[in-house]
Amino acid sequence: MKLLVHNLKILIILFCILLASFLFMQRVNAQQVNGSSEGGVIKVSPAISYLKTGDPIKLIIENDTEFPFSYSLSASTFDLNLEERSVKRLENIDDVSLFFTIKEEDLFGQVEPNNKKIIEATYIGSESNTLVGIIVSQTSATAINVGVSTEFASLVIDQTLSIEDKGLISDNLDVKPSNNVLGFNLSNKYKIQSDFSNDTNKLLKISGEITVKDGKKYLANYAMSQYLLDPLFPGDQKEFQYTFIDNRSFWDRFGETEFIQTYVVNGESYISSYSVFTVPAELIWLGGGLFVVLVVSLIIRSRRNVNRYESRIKQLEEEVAQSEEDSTNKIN
Amino acid sequence: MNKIQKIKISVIILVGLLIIISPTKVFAQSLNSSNYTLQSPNLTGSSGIVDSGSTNYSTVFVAGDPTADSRLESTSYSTGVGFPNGIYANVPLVKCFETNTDDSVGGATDTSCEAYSLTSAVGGADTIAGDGMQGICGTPGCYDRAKIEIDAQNNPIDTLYLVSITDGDTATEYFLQSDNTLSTGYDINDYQTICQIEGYDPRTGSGCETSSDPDWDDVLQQYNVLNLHAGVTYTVKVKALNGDYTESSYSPTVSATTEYAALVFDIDIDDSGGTATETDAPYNILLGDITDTTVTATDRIWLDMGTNVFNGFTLEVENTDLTNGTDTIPSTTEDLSVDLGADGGYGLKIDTYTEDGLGPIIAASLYDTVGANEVGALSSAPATIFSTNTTGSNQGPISGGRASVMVKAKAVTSTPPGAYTDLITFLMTGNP
Repeated sequence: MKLLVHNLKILIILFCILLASFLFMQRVNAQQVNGSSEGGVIKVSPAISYLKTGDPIKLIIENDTEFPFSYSLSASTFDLNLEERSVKRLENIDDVSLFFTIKEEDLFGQVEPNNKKIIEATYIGSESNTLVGIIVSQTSATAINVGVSTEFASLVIDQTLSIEDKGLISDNLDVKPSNNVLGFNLSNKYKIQSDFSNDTNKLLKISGEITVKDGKKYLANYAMSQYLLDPLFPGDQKEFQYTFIDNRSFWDRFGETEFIQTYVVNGESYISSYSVFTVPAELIWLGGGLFVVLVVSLIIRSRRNVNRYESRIKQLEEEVAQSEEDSTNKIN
Repeated sequence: MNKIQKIKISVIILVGLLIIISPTKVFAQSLNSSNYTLQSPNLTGSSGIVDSGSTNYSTVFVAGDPTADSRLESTSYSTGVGFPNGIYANVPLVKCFETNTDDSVGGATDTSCEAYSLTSAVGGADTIAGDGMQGICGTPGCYDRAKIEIDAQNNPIDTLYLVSITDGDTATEYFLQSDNTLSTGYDINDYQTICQIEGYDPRTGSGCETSSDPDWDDVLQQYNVLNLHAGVTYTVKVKALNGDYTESSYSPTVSATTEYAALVFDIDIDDSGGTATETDAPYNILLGDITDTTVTATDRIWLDMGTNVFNGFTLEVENTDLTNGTDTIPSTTEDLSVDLGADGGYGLKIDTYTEDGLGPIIAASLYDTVGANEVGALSSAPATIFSTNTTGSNQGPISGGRASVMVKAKAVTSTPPGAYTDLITFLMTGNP
């Protein structure tokens, strides 16, 4: 009996210990443990859009991290940084509807891990002609001691050109034959120069080419687009030089040769042309040769005429002298 | 010598000069001669052997005109016999049409292009500049350009090719122009040789074999289809032309999808060993007690950066102020150890930066300071801290950029006590 009671006491004590441990066990919440797993990233596109008023944008927020990404949308204005060939934020604009039409429910949200969200927006223009962008801001930042936050800019480059802008864009096509006399080209070698300049306050996207033609006949083509992949910043100039050598026969080269530059600036087409009238040197030589032959034959002919006239005069003089002598003899 | 004789001499001289200078044109002559006549030059019978046996003429003979035969065509090929099939150019193939491939050999996105850039011409290399189109445009690939290479299928070097490209979104068919852009129309100028399209042709006599050849073009070797739209699937096909009446039919099609111009960014908070750390928002740096000796936060701000924007990105930083609500610890660009203003200080100092490919990352000198306690100022006006660009040999796109930034502060004895807080914001923007 004593043993039973003793064992019961031990059991009760053990039970109480177990019960106490269950009741008073401290829960250690998971702390912010900085692990060593590979990093994920947030991806936002498009980074840059070239648009006109009314054009749509498909903003994509892609979350490749293991954690939800909470965001809000706003807008910012930007200024061109001509020195660094970049942009600089000027001002934050909370009301994104000043520049973009976006559904109310898309202005705030969360993108789950390994997921993406597509937000439809429409660009409604920028009255002040400054650059604008949609700002995607991470909203979970708090200023506890030093808080750190992330923002992405989906920049819009406005492609609209005003009438004044169009007058401030020049291409300066110039063609210099290698041998030009009194406005006539005598050679078959041409130096073509094209000089684009942007005197507007906007970024310009330009593509173009130069075509050389003789009437309807195509002679050569020079592409510039691959050298114009970067937009032209305000105040920028871009120069192109080509050498065109016309290897046709001199007779085919005689006449007008036309140099046509076609280019597109912010989606609008332009065309300029330059004509050169060619008188090939071979024709000059040929004409000169014929002229010399003509002159020489005229000289020879005139000299023969002179000799004939002289001999005729002499003959007449002799006849006169003879008749005078005959008259004298008759009188005598 | 009478007048008529003189005129005759002048005319003879003139004609003689004209004959010497004028180009001689020889027009095609009749096949008839005093010894033979060729009428409807066809050969009938089973023999296709033709022996012209003459140095004065040549003819094109036709080995009969077969009747329609369904065995000559299938769903994937057709065989043409008889005139004019014998003179058609061989149907070419599209060797590669790519926007976002990499060089994961054997992988689904492995590049099939064999372009050679000026600095990395390696025979048989299966890469473009080292890593497919992502090696050209950055992760995840190109958004406004692509690369096409053509398999000539034994066509001669001077064969011309016309590339058709269809926009999958609008179903509009475009043609590759001589300036590498697209247009809905085309003319003879837009038929180009492989050398003209790709800037490279290894065949002897192409004018594009080595970097010293005049038509070698290392830009076209990287990308040669321009002005594409982002996020669009394009389908290409090619046909060949080698003289009048020889245009082949189109090749089988190949498709590729352009990426979007994207910014890739993430923040993590960890100490100096956190090179590969991934942490969740909210991101906070604990400065601890700010004393009159320079305090550096134990944790760094770790930044992941990447982009495929052709001219790169700019990362700006701004803040609200390190304040206790009433008083502010000023942030100026200075050596906190010296503290010229004797008013304390606060700012950022770049610790490390690196990248996996392209770039490189450029650290702004404002924050990439020399002295251990030299900091760059923070303000409400954004300041550039990191960027990439295309100056010199730099490339704008970048893959796997990773940097760490230290936060430092210092008080003075007159700094009022309190809990000082600040919010630092990083803004990433693509460079136009």
